[in-house]
Amino acid sequence: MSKRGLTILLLIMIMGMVLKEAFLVTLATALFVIIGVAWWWQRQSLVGVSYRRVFHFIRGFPDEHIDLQVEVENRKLLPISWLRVQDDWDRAVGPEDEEVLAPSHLKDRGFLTNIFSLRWYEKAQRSYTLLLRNRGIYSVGPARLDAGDLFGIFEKNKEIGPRQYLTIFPTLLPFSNFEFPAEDPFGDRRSRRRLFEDPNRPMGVREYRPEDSFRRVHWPATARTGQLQVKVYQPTTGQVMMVCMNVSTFTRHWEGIYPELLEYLIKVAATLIDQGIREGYKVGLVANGCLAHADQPFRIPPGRSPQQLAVLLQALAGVTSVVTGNFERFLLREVPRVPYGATLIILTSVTTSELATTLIQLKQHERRITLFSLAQEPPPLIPGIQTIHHPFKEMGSE
Amino acid sequence: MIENASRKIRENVQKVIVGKDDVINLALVGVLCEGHILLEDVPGIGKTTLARALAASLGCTFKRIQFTPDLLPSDVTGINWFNQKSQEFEFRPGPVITQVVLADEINRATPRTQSSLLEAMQEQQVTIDGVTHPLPRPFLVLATQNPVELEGTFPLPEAQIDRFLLRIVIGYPSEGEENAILDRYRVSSQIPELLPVTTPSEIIQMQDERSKVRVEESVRDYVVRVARATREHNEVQLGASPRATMALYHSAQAWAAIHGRDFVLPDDIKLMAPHVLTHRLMVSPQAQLRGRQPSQLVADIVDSVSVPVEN
Repeated sequence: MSKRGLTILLLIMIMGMVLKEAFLVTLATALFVIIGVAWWWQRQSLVGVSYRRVFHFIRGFPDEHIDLQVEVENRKLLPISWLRVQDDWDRAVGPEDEEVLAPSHLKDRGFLTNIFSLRWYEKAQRSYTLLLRNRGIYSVGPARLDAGDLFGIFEKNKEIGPRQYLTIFPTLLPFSNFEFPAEDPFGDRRSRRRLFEDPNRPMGVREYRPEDSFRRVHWPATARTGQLQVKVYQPTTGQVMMVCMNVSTFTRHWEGIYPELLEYLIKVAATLIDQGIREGYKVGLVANGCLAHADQPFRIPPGRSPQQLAVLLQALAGVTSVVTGNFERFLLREVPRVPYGATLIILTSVTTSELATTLIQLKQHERRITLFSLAQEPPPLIPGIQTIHHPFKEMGSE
Repeated sequence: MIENASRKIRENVQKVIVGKDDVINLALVGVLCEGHILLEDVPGIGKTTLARALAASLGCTFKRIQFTPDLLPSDVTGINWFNQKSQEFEFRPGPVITQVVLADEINRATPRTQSSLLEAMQEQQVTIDGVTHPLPRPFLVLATQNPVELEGTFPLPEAQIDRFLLRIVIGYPSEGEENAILDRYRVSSQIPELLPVTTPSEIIQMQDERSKVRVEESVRDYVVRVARATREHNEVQLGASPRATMALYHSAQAWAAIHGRDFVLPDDIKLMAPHVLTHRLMVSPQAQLRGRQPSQLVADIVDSVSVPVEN
């Protein structure tokens, strides 16, 4: 309602009074009351209104579906005649039917728009099925609420709801495709006896063997069985595997990026990590690429917690095509931080003589290395380094 | 009786803890069920203060064990030591032989030491060198743990976790409560000493009264269906045990009694389910990978099981 409209109403009222025309006075008064009520209504319309998105999952793999419920609640006595919720949404995690998202000025985004009419203390829900399309970390929100009065004279809006993130992990490929040696896939044989054991955590007893120390003898068990028995302790360390990923897809990183090859490289890294964790390794990841909104290479230390796979896959989901620097120099800088005895999986789509020299240098420091190359040309044969060559094929390579 | 006594204990605890009515009520549920409580939250929230205040208010004997990686089972349960003067073995009781035990930062001790509490928590006795020592009644373990730190901690084994009746998350205070905290402790951060407002015999009497709170057959069936639904949920690797079913039943009785009712409503079950079940559920690896939390699963399960209605 503009100032001009109010002025006209006031003039009508004055005219009605001067001309003693009761109809005009009544009309102007009624309109003033309506405008007053409408103005107060719109002021109150968004008070006590909450908006919530409930995702069944917040992380998943491409082509998976996620159930979403959007909930809006009016926690006050005053009803809301109309309420429009426009939630800013990334199309990569949009509803199955792409048409559901209203267009935005940004190509990859849209608006999930819902219109509600809520009575006092009423809650309304809408359900959607989202389709996860491409690898990445995608933001959803914030939402914009628009509401108004019963007469449609005034409108009020506000931003609500936190920004939430949905993660699409890279696709996991069948591990058997990579032709790793069956017995010793990561070039690191698992020892029967662990190097370090925690004497605070005995996990059982077994018969004495000549190489056992007398300090390990379990005397009560020996007395009970009549044969020497020794304590078996829980290991304090496990096998460690570090995936070192070269994000560059060309020899010189300023040449740009080959997007399909990068995606495939990330899928291979995800598959190796998944397999490593399945085999009981503590798995970590370093890469000379960087995550979205960051300009530094990332490093995830090895771990075996139940969340480690999710952490690593989440990092791979967020890898961008930005290369932070030369991979060989990056390796020389990062490898000293990796625990001794760890298996290094060097995953690259570019094999240069400089890389071979670097790997020889690392090998001289007694590092266990497996080179996994996606390059077209076979990688150089380096004594003591297990090499897997799996050239990238543009179509149907997976 | 339970309602009045609970109010007195709550008011006494609130001399040191600002607000948090529901958290104190949940702790009282543990007292009324003679069940053990796991207080899990970030540092500085008041876990230890709450445990100490509750123990002081109950008028029971109280011991505190600071769990550290080098703590041994015998440091918890006690040992038989050789007295050279009398030339005999003597039993020196450990801190667990008391009425209220505060196991502070329980996940810092090794699983071996954590396991020394298993017999005490379930059977209310400790066995040392073949001799069983019964624990005084009421017996209550209040354990605290910090969920943020992973380095240098040992997650509680499932058998231990299942012995905790409730897991309570205290949560940050509201703006008003935080202002009240600053106002209350503006001169000194020293927490005042509390005087007991009940006696152990009164607590035992209240526990007996709690067991008389009526649970309709349909409500009892609802408890069973909720517990069974956790075992059938496809995102749960390990569902609730029969002990958890009993815990849900008893805690709903206690909640009803604290609120002055002598009967249990389905709402009591719904309210207690997240506190009783969340810590007991083991989420499947696939669901964990996709970011599902046990609390979400419990909420889903409670929503999916139909509530008994009056005919």
